Amino acid sequence: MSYEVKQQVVAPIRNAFTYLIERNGDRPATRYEEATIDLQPTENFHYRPLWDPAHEIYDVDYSALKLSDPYSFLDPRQYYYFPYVVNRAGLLESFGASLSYLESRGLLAALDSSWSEVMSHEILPLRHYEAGAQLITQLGSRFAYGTSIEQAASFSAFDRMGLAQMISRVGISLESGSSEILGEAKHAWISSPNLQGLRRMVEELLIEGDWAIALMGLDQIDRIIYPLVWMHLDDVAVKSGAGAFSLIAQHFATWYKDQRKWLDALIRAWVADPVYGLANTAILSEAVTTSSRRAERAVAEFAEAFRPLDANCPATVAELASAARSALSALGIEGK
Amino acid sequence: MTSLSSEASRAKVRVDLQDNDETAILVAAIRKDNPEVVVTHLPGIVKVTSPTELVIRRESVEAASGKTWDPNEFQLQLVTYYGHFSTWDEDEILISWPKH
Amino acid sequence: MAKLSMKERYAALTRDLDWDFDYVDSKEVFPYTTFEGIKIHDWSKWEDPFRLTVDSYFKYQAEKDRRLYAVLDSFAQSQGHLSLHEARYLNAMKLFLQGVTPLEYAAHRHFAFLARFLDSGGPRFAALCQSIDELRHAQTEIHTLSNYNKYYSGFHSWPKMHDRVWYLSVPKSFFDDAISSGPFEFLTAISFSFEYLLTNLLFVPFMSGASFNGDLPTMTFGFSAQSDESRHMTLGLESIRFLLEQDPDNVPIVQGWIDKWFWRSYRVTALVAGMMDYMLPRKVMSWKEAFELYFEEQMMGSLFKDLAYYGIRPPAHVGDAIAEKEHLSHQVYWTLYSFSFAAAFTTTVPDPAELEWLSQTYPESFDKLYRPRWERAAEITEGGGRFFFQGLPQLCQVCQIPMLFTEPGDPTTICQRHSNFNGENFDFCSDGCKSIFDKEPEKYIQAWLPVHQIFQGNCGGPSVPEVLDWYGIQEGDNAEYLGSKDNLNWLSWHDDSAK
Repeated sequence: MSYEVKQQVVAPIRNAFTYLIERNGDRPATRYEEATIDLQPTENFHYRPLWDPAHEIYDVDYSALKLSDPYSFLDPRQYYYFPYVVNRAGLLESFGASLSYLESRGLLAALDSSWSEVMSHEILPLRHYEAGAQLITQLGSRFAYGTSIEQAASFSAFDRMGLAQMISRVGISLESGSSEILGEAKHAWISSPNLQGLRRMVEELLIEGDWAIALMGLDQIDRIIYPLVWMHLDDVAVKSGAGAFSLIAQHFATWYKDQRKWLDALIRAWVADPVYGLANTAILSEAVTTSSRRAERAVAEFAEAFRPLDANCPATVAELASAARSALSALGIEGK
Repeated sequence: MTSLSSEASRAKVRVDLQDNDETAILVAAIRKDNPEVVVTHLPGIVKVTSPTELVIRRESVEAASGKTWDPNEFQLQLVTYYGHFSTWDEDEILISWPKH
Repeated sequence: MAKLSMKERYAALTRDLDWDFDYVDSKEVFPYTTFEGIKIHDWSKWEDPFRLTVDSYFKYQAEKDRRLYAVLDSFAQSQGHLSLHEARYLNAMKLFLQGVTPLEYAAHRHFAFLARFLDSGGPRFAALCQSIDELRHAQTEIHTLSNYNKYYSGFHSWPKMHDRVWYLSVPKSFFDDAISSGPFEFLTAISFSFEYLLTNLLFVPFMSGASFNGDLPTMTFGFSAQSDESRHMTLGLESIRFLLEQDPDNVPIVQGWIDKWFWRSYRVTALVAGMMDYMLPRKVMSWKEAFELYFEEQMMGSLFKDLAYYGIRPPAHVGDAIAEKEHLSHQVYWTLYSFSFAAAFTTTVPDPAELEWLSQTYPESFDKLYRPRWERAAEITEGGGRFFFQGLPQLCQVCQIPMLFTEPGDPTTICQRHSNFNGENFDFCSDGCKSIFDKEPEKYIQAWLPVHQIFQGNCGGPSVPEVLDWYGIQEGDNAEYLGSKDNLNWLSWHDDSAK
């Protein structure tokens, strides 16, 4: 059988999936909404996990931080897979273009010795910081309750792997295509005294079972280390003629601005929750107080190594830590 | 290396590719390097079956298309396969069953 | 200095990111890789032939999705749904959205578990990519089928249906079973047994069928998803090989998982068999042909000969699966037909051309055993009635399919098996399902069996309308296709051609 198609517009019999109409009213849904809301099953699980019989396959009790409606948080960037990968393909492409330019002009090799020392022994070891950040964030990808949150965490975890690889590629470029320098960087991550505060904090966050508390701990480091390494040092680089570093740093700074958007929106949702808001705020304040002081100390130790480039680095860390606390306070989280 | 072992009958491998222009170029390159392949069609799919193993060479694809080709691009055409990716590097993709 | 090869670069960008922990016990960081008894001595032997890194991942995935969404947009803008072969075809896609899309989402969540908890950076990275690939598949399927939801019944409440409706507990319990297992069993279950052994049976003939029935968007998302699936199949095969090579003690454990998960996966594909042979108005390939090509020839003919090197034999009960290939789709679809008053899709008697195709494709079984049923059903329809089974079916405790399969070698007797556990009787559809239960009864007694749940009063009420309401099934979603809302709308949208 075949039919002639009538030259007329056939009116839809409904505008959207029923559960989206129930939530949003009778209007067409966006692709982000379709890709996100109510995807995660919530009931009638068949078996308890062998690896954690105390919980269901998806369970609100995987974290102390709760939302009465998980979809009260929606990613302000509206990332579902397609826009996410398109955005990141762009980020990686422009990073790759910067790196190729630096390689072709020999600009990384031309960095002066104080900069190349910092690159090899301080910046490159951060590939392991990012790899740890992937693992920490990945816990939320599996255990966050609701697709909107876990999706943003999933993308963030994937990002951290991407950032670890970007830093590694800088190392490979620094050494004109070899990876020995990455071995030195790993050695520094494992044994340089000024990196141990950071490494210890990352390792300890890896055994934090509450994905949200672990992620908040990581965020306390990010809030200081990103502005320090990828923004402040960028300014220093521009002033001291190390433009090669600046070309690299811009991409990490771009990523961090994007990361802030969803994470700050999530914190706002936790704080504003009509049922759990007060409890969430108390838990967050406690967690932030513990981890932000540790993060400040760890980054301050790390930043000692930047003194040859910028004598004021330690003071900068204190300022950035204070700015981080103010930013949290603006979100409703007061440290104790 | 192509080896026509006594186990050839069991060592069949196959790739299913999306039926489009880029696949036509790939199939031309595959035929050149694997004269024994059999090409069949299902709606939307081109099935390329080899009685032994199947190699896709970057040089041959580039010669067939006149453009540079990264073996990673093969993923854009690949629908499924049967066998084992014994090699996937800068220059070639080899699908075969491992020889123990 | 020599430039890094692709292999060295890949190692530097994945595995080499790992370091040994000094401040915490690595057993606490990776607590789940030992309880299953699997022994790993050297993770560096694990190979990923794709050697994908994040930059190329984004590049190719963005390109794939640009192509796919361009097709979806133009199909929607041009009212492409009107050029489907027939609205009835969409029943297959309703079952797909209700039954398969949620599995993609579940895979996304649990590959994230592997991306966190496997204790080596190489396989973790492969799992990381697969985790977001699976999210891609769920989302592209939703976006593809969302357009049909605007014009046709049965698509509108798929997440709720997946959690509640009787036939959907088949795929849901399957995936819940895998997720609730340990990480290596999950890999064996999903990456190897489901994806490597059987996923081609689901996707390839089905997507060709979509193409043949005028459903360009489904064909496009299907093939596009399959290109990721090739990576996933590879993860499955590499994992199995790796586990077998690492320690001889792993062999019997893996064999047990292959036995279990082949049967578990195969039973889920029973729904696919019904979809292929009956729900596609224009047929591409029968279930039997697909099973022979993708399973018997490829898997039995080569893969298991290869795995014999490691001491692995073909899955237990595989002979039963092969023996029932002449019967499976007919028995399943007859059950769906009989119970479709309680389903979110419609069914109908195959038309004469389809009956002819079925008898040619299944010469051993169709005319003798199954055609008479359809002739009876057609008579009832001609008399103004519609045959439906009265009452609720008995479900298999393991696969949760109604007890509809026949004895191996005797297609006229329903197969029933039983086990007693803690003084209670449990029923199974087959030896395969019974042996799965007998090895882990504590797990399978937990099953949320939809029919039991109705009897226990957990599904909205005791009457059929109450249960259907609780399922989210609306008028027009269920029962007979001819005269259904979709059928009538379709005819009115195309009535110019009838003049």
